[in-house]
Amino acid sequence: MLVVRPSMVKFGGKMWHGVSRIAIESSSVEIAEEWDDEGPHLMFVDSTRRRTGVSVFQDIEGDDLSSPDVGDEKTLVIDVDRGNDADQRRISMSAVVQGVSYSLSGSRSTRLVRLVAVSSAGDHEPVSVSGGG
Amino acid sequence: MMGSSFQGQNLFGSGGHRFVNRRLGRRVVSLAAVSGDPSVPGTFESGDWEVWVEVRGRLVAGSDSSLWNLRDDIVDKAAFGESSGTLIDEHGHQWADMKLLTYEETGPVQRGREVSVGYVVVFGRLTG
Repeated sequence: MLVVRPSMVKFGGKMWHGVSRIAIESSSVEIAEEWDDEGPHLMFVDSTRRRTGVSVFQDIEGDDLSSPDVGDEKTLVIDVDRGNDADQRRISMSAVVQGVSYSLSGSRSTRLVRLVAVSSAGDHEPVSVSGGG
Repeated sequence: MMGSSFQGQNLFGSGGHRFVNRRLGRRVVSLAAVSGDPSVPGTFESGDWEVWVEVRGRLVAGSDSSLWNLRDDIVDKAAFGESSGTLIDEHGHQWADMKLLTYEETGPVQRGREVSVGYVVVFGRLTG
């Protein structure tokens, strides 16, 4: 998922202002695969361990003296509002801060917070999307 | 292409599997090992190696209980006192008078779209 200019982003009880983009990316960290005596081609593939990473890009004006702590686990809530009820979405997840970094270009500062989403149980999707038509 | 079987039962068809012949030929034994005296040189022939065949593959099921059914079907054949039978691979090659000796999993059960586990099953034609 990619969210551009969300209307609201909150991590725990703290609002994150100036968020320009959020990328929510899922990938396999373990694949089960099997071949057979029938021939050379892979005949079974299953994604058996997955990780969902979240990158929050935030425009920073001035100082940033209260960046999130690495290792913090809190609820990340992202609201998307495109002006009508059908396009309103709330994305939420429990997430752990993996790292915080800054990109400096001229007078512009961008903060990148990388997080990893955590499932409440291994068979539950860690990211939920609600709202919309 | 035909399916594999043991005693006419398709034990491995839930997932991919491959047959591996273990060592074949004459068995050569160290005289030092037999005598218990490391100073004794040489070796001697002691018949042929028994025929042992491995099947390596993956059991694939839609649920944990279904996976247990697949697993139990194999393990039941490995119980003491179970009779021997004919093992047939997917290309029709047959090994007669084989016993299913062991079933061993190669790692934890993996859960994704399916529930699956890798395994090694050993068959042998025991001559003793």
